[in-house]
Amino acid sequence: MFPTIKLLNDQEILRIDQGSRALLMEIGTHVPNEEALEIFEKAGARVDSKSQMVRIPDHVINDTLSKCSSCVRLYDRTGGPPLLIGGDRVYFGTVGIATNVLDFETDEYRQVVCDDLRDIIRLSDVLNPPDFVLVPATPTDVPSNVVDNIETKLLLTNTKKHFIAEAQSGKNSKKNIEMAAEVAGSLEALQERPFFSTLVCLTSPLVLRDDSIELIVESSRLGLPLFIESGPMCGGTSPATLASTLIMANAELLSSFVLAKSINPAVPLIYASWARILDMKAATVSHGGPEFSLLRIGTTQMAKYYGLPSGGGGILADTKSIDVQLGMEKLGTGLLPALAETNMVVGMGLIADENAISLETLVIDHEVTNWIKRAMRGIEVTDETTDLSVFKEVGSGGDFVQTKHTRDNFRKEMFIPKIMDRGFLALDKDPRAKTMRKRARKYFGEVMEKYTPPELPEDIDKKLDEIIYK
Amino acid sequence: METEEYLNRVIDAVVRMDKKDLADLVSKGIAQGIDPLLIVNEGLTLGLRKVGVLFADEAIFLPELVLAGQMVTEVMESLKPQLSGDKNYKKKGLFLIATVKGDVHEIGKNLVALLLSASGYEVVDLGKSVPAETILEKVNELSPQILGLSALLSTTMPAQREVIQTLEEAGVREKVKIIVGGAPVTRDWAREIGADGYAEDASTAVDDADRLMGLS
Repeated sequence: MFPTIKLLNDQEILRIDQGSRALLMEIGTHVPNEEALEIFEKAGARVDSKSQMVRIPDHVINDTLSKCSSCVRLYDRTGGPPLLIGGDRVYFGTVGIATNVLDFETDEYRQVVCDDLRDIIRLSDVLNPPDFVLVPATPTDVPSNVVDNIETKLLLTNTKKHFIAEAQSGKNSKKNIEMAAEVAGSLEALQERPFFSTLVCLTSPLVLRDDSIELIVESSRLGLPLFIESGPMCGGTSPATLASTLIMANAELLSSFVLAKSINPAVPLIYASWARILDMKAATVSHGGPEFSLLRIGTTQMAKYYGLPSGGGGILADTKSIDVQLGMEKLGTGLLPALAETNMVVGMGLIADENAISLETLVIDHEVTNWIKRAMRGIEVTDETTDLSVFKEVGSGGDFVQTKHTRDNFRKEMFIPKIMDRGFLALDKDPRAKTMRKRARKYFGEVMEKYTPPELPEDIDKKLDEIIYK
Repeated sequence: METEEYLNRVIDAVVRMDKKDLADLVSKGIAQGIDPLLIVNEGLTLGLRKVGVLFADEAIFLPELVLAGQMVTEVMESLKPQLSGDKNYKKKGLFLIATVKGDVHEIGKNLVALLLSASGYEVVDLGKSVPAETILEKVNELSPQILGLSALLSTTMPAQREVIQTLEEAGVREKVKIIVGGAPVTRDWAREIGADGYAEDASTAVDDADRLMGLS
């Protein structure tokens, strides 16, 4: 069996579900967009056009859920099999929208430029995990009205993995789609094997922002996958109990799902969340504490209750340094969601809360996620793994290092670290010579030396620029 | 095939740990009249040295290092008939090895023994938790060139010193070179107890043995 973790029992899940349904019907969601109001009304919601409040009855939610798929297929550009998002599969990805970078050379924080985004996408392309690349940062050296499209171009030119793009408006989302279609060969080819999804961040409490609506509308119409995240802050934009924060996160996701599925029942949707706490000491959001992991397990359990593919933040850290706190936060917020079988855990490469990317951190997160993946495989007990013949071969008092059985099995059974230091304590040398950070830097150099990024034909590259600046 | 190219292929087969390819290559080489001593010294030994470097660089792992050692030992065994006719061929020396009294850890010691014999030493392994008196007896009986003493525990490290003292008291210390090793053992410790050499790991044990034999 594989180790798994659950927090909520059936009755508790039902309470969260009922709470969310009550919010959506009794309080309602603010929807400042005429087109969306019409869509909601047609779907059976009660719409007050004056206050732009939408109240969604139970049967509309049930209807929406009946249109959802339990598994979303996310393709890449290598032509290989898609990532199957749903059930017990767990994938890890980057995340970002950070505007700072911890510079690899100077070890100082500074603003992100396009080259930084390119570098971290390339490192994401070469390491596994990340299994997919959510746009890891926002460059500050380009015009802000097209920065999202420039990010998409950098993703298209530097990775063949599935990526999740951001867009600040329906117009720019259209451009993203047009660029991806250009690379795919046609819109139909992109729809057949969508190699990118669009990120939608919802706003708490109970608001469907105009720009979020536009993104949902654009992708839904074309049946392109949406990675929709709710992120209420416990004690800030949601009540100060974790249970109520789950009710809020869930309600917001359900309302966005109603909108998307009313536009096109075929649109693939991923139920993701960043439900988190407001740190009352620092007066800022925290992603590295135990509550973050608890909330992720909670939102994941809600997704599973509805039979939906799940995702959300994890492998995150509030620390500003590559230090002990980083290791503690990354493992804690990575391992627990993974054990809850959150299908898409996003957070690799991020440091300083949500504010900075770091190449070293991404290498460390690669180690952390592989550590987690091994833990998730548990102990396999089968006829093969309990075969007594090797005991007989070695007998009493011998060693197993020299057996073929060891050679055949050690790679399968053991996690082989890339950058953890496990050597013995050699006091005649510097015992701290191989710190994880030093080894991460060395490993970075090794993997990037052998790496060649995917390149696009020159004419397509040109067309992408035309689309961005038209 | 030129001899140099042939030897490179032998080295490559050891590094790839391709047992079948190595066996084929060696028998083909012998059939073609290539000097078996050359195969050993310029092929197998160099290949094994490369494997040791790969292990130190963490490019291959312990079971693979052991496999390479086993493969080369087996090939050397198979070459014995040819080599014994060669008057220039002799083992590099006799290496007596033991884990010291009170210590039952011998995986590391076994590995050292394996790599030493794969590198051309005649190795006599006395086993684990071997008392100083037994080691003295064997030194007198076999007259080895080198004695290797292994200890995994910091609590059994003093037993390495006891062996050296026992040999001194018996007046035979000067007859044999002594290399100490094991996880907690340091170069400083080796110097402090009057050992001649220090082995950080299995590969450097071979290097240090060669150094003491004046072979490197």
